[in-house]
Amino acid sequence: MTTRSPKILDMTFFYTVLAGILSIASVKAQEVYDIQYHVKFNDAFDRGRRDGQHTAYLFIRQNLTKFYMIANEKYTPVDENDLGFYPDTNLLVYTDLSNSTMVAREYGFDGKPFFLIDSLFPMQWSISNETKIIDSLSCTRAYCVFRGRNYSAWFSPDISTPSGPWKMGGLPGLIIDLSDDMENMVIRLKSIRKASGRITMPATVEYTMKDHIEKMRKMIEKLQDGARATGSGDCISCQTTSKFEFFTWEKIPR
Amino acid sequence: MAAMLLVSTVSVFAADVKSVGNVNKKLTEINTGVGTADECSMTLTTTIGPSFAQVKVTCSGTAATCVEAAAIVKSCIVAAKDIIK
Repeated sequence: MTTRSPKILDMTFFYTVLAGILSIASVKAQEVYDIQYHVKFNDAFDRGRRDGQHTAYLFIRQNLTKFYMIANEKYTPVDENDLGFYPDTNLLVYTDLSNSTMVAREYGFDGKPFFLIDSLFPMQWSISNETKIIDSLSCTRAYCVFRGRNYSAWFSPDISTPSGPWKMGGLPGLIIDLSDDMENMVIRLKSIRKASGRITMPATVEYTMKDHIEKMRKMIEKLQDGARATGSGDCISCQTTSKFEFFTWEKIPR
Repeated sequence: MAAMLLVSTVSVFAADVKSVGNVNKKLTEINTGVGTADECSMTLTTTIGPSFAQVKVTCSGTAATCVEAAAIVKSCIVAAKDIIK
């Protein structure tokens, strides 16, 4: 049995620690990407079909990510009663993995944007045995239910980040492809490259998704209770009915 | 003639509101073109909001005249919009 001197042990320890630091630094250095996705989104989800094409961008800078998508074509109203709109950039989402924070920009029915704090990757994934190669990346399929919709994702452990498009993530690798089971939202990797630059999270946001759901619930109740037209006061025979249907991609728990 | 007048009235109102979805008038003897309206019902559907979160408001109104029906439909939509704001 041989014994090493304390000096050699010190040096071994030093090189081990150094190798570890370099290894971590190397991994961290790789977690800096600019990713583009093709997105097909059905504007008329739960009502019909009206697919639109978009380009989405995911920027990964170690612990920070930024995602948004831009419509390839300008939104055209279905008819004069269609007061819907498409913002220039949609589904803007920031994440900070260092403190498990997600900040998303949403739009009210009135068209005004606002930021809210959302849960970071709350979905429970079920990872399957299905594998395939997508653009030379080894991918594995996973499934989850998120806010009322069933999703399937192909993720690649080759890209060691839990991030993905929109609010999706939490898998042991970048989400390469994502779609819901009705194919209302279909996201496919377009390109991925190493990048540089910084991401700045929005300033302090206090409004939460919980606050938002509560606000939406109150508005729905108010609409259902109070928005029945009465017509002119002297119109005794007038009858009126009103119906309100809400179509939200992230379904509001009732 | 009476039918033509009614159609004309509705047309004018539609131009004013700019949101009348469809108009369903109950006319008697409409095939002869000489009937008179005993009531008029209107339905208006408006979709409001960004594509990821929209509310579809459908208001229907029935009244003796199309002007009254359109007025109550319009007030229904305005009330809904006020709440949504």
